[in-house]
Amino acid sequence: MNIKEYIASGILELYVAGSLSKKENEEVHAAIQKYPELLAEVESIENAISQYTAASFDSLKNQLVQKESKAIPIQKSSKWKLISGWAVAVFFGSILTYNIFQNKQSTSEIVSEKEVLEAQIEKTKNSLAEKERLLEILRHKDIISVPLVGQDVSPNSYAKVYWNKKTNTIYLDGKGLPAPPKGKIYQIWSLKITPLTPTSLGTIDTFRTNSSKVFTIENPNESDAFGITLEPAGGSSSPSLDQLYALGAVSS
Amino acid sequence: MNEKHDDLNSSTNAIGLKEMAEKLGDSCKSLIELLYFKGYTKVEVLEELYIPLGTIKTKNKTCIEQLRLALGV
Repeated sequence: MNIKEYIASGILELYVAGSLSKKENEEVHAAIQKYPELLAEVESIENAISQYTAASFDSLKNQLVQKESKAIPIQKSSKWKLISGWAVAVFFGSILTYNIFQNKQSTSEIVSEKEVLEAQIEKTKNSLAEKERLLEILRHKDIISVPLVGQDVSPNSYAKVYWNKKTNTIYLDGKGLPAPPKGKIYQIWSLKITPLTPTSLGTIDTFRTNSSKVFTIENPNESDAFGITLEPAGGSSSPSLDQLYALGAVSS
Repeated sequence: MNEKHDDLNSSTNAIGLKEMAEKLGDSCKSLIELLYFKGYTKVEVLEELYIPLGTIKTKNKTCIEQLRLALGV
């Protein structure tokens, strides 16, 4: 084999490139094993290519670095975008948290408010039912209405007695009476005119607490009139006539 | 290994790709790129650069000679 001609043919360069056919490749490989000059030549070619590759790589790297440095402002801005993005996220997040907290608070407020309102509605319903019941009673056909007029002690006072003779019940409407002073209570009397005989129907102990001021009292008497006197707490056996607040006769 | 790498770097830095490229013609650069970097076959090189199959071997030989001359290897 003429080594110089073999080298000059350029086959070794293609061998390094790996672009020979399988057969050629095997031939070159065998020749390199056999002749050290060929091996040295192949190593030189490889060296040249690898240096060229390295240089190309450096150039490519420089290009990339330049591109990167060009990209730095963009990166910075994207960093700022990122930071501002997070800032916005945190901002809205805190607003959301605050709102949730507020909502929770106002929810509990609304719940308690709702409970209060429900209690009020219940109370109103009850009170309405109570008033309807009263109205029903007062409208009853068997009811006799007896107006009681204010007397010397309290001329502006008035009261009304609604008397159901069939059930022996009177309903005293004391709305027109002043609240009794402390230690005093109103006592209601059934009166027979001839002879004048007062009969106690009892004291009104719940005057302050009863909001409708309508009191249901049992009255089995054949009353000619009704009177209300202010008596010491506990009531009296006979009316204190100087403390007669209201008086009214049953119209026959 | 490191020494070799350093040698490589220093020599390429000393010569510089620009200088190397100036010495290599555009056709050589294309040919080396296709054959050594991209691993093209001779037929693919023919299709890409319109170099006849019989010429690729000698043309490539000339290019590598130039490169070796420039690099001193």
